[in-house]
Amino acid sequence: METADVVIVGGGVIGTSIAYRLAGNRKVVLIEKGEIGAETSGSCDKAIFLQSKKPGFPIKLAQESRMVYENLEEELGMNIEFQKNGGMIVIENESHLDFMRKFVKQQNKADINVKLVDQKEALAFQPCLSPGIVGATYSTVDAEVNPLLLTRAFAEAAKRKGLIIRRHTEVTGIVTKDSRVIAVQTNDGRIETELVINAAGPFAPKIAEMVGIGLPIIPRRGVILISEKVKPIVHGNILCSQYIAAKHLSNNTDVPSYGIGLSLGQTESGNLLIGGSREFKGYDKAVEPKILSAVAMHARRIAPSLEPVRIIRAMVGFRPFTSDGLPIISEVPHLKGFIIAAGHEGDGIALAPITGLLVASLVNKDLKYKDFLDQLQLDRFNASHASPKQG
Amino acid sequence: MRIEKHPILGYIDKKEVRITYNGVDYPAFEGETIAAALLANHIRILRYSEKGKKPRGIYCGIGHCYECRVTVDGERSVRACVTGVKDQMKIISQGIDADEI
Amino acid sequence: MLMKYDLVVIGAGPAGMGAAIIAASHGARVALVDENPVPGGKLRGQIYKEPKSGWWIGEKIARNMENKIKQLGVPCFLECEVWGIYPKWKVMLNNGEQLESDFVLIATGAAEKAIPIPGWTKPGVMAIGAAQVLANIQRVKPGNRVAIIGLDVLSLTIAYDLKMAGVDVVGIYLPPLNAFSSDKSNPLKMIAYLSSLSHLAPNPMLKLLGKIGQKESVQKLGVNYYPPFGMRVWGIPLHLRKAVVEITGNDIVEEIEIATVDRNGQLGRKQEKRISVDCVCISGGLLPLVELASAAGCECVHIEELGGLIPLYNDQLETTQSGVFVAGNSTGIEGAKVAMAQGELVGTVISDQIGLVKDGPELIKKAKEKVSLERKNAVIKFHPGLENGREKLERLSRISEVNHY
Repeated sequence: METADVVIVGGGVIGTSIAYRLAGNRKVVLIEKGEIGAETSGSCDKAIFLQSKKPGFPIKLAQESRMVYENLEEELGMNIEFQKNGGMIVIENESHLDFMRKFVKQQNKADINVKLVDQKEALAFQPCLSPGIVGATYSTVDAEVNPLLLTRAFAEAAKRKGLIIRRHTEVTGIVTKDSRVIAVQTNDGRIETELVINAAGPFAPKIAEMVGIGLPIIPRRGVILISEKVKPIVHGNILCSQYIAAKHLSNNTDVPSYGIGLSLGQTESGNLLIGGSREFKGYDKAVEPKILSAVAMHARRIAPSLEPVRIIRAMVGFRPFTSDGLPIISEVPHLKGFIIAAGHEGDGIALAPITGLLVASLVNKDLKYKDFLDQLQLDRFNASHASPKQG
Repeated sequence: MRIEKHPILGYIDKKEVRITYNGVDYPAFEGETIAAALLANHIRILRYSEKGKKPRGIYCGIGHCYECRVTVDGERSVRACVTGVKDQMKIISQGIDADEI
Repeated sequence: MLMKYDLVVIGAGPAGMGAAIIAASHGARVALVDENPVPGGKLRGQIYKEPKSGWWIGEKIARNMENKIKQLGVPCFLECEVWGIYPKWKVMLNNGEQLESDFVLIATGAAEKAIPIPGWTKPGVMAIGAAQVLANIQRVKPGNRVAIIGLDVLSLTIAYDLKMAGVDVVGIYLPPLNAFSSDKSNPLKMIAYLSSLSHLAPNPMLKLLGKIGQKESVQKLGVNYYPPFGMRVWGIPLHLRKAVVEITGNDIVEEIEIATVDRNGQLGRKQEKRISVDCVCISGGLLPLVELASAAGCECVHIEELGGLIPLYNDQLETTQSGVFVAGNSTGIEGAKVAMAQGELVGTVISDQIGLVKDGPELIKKAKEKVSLERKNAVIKFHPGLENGREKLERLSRISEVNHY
């Protein structure tokens, strides 16, 4: 009979970060249906943006996570290409200028170091940009990391602490008895455990469904283009104000087709990551060619230097969307031993470090992060979602 | 480097054209690939790597590995091993010009 | 711009052209796409001696097929890359054109597996297949003094090609033991491999090698007695106890550094002597190209004996995506004649499905028989366990059909 103290479902950046914090003094098994970091965490951009977060709790959470990054490379003992190169949000048209001005003021009030720069300054810092832009916001606190390396670093460090990883293994059921979890059933045997952590990202609702819990997480499809290697032309990461408007303006009527907003970064080896789209398309990965073209055209308009660069691949991922833009890191009512740690949407990379600590605190019941966890409860959503189905 | 007469395949009749590589004029045969034409002129270095600026040449010879990327008549990243030469073609190796992407 | 066809063939090698000729001659509207400036693919570089009919020259066969394609008026999109295949079915070209069709044949062939060796990025180091393209198609010597790393049917064949082209082949060596070299750096395994080649008669060139592998001195006494100076095949030294550990040179290849290896491929002392060369060819084996099939949503399976990951297909070479077919090396690594016969089978099946032929089942049966015959008569087998691999694939294909219908 195989037993574990904890079974983590999902080997993305969230699952591995949690595994790293939990492994060591307990037996932790991580179940991954494919490869480590091969879904959402392997098809995202590399930005750790702070300046774009909503003031209040979202910023506090992001800052806490950003602090963990400071020593993470050393702690995990592996190069994750963490760079403090700052981040820029390009303002493309006058109509966004007023909003962005208010945005900067509001962020400064929340203690986020971000400033508005004019077109000249923006171009001096990022020569790849179009002279047609009106300005940009710039922050030195934004950083970047290689998500592939980050996930691997968490997994390797956790393995050194005794984590057992089961790749190509699917969870087929969660066995409960008297409202407690007692085992996890997989396509490759059963593991007796009293604690399951659902870190399956966009697939978390499918796992929760197995115990009759409906999760308010919806897969949001995003596509990112990858270019050939070029010399360094992007410093830090670049977003466009379209993205901020879409994120912060609930009454924003100027919604671009396929939810396109620029996200531009460059890996250490020279490849550009050019994003992206945001669409609700279920779990359908077949992206139509017109969406790829639209992403490329949008990026080229803002950064004309991209024109001669060749695109060599495109990657598609599902971001686990929640309606308030915050993840769910929570136990569930009426079922003991089932923890949700999912719903980070586009902030999975930025929030992975803190998520591991939050879940560890939840498991250890040490109240260290009580203030944070209180805000990330599952029952903040409609009560009908959170209660288990009858029968 | 040219194989004038192959014991099994025999001779081939080819029309000579002119190409330039990094500004220098060279002869080539119509229909042959850029990579072959340059090698026939004893040129092995086709580009320099982005990061280390190390020389690169033909590797797979069938367009798969993208090691032989050159700039042809202003178009970036053309594969020298699967692109035929044309008269007056201007070929530039990638990775040496500071102004390029 | 959008254009409508019955069949779009991707890859103008022996498989692709074989299919295009059959389908077009039955009246199908066919388009042919290839990224090379000239059709023919790797067929154009192949020459080998047949036991009865003498030299088999791929270039001539490719030219004949190309002429037929032209006579049939099949539009050829040359120097064009396919960047995507979308349902049902649109083939996207890098020049902006979209080819729409009911049927797509993916006949993209194979690429070579890489074995990284210190210094391998220097100009002058190339995959063994590139040397064949240069010498036999482009008629340019890949180098004047060439060292070959990696022993297999392909590297032996091309070593001979190079010799015919007047190249001084200084020797065939093993790769150093690393994560990518697998059996290719193991002298014991390589001797066993050599002896397996004797079954490949009737190819007289390879038969000779098989005999060497079976020689008492090599087989029975074992690898320890393999002469340290190597044995000569067609005047080319074959070193089964030596690995190339580094390729050196200022900007381009100038020398190779060699080490003796033990029976399992573990490195011994480096040799003092360096050998001066201007070209090094690495042979890591062939790998079916499945990217497009995979992008089109075709299910893929891993079968080592067929070269690795391949699309799952049925006995009519249709993948798990209806209307998408595969033929040639993208179905598993085999020779050009098998590829051609597979292409003809696909051309026949599609013509039948469109309703262009009267006696479809009979024609398909004949086309299948031709594939089997070419397989049986093949002078080159790339993997000793090829038949095994085919059986595995057929089993998987049957399971998949049960699951799909």
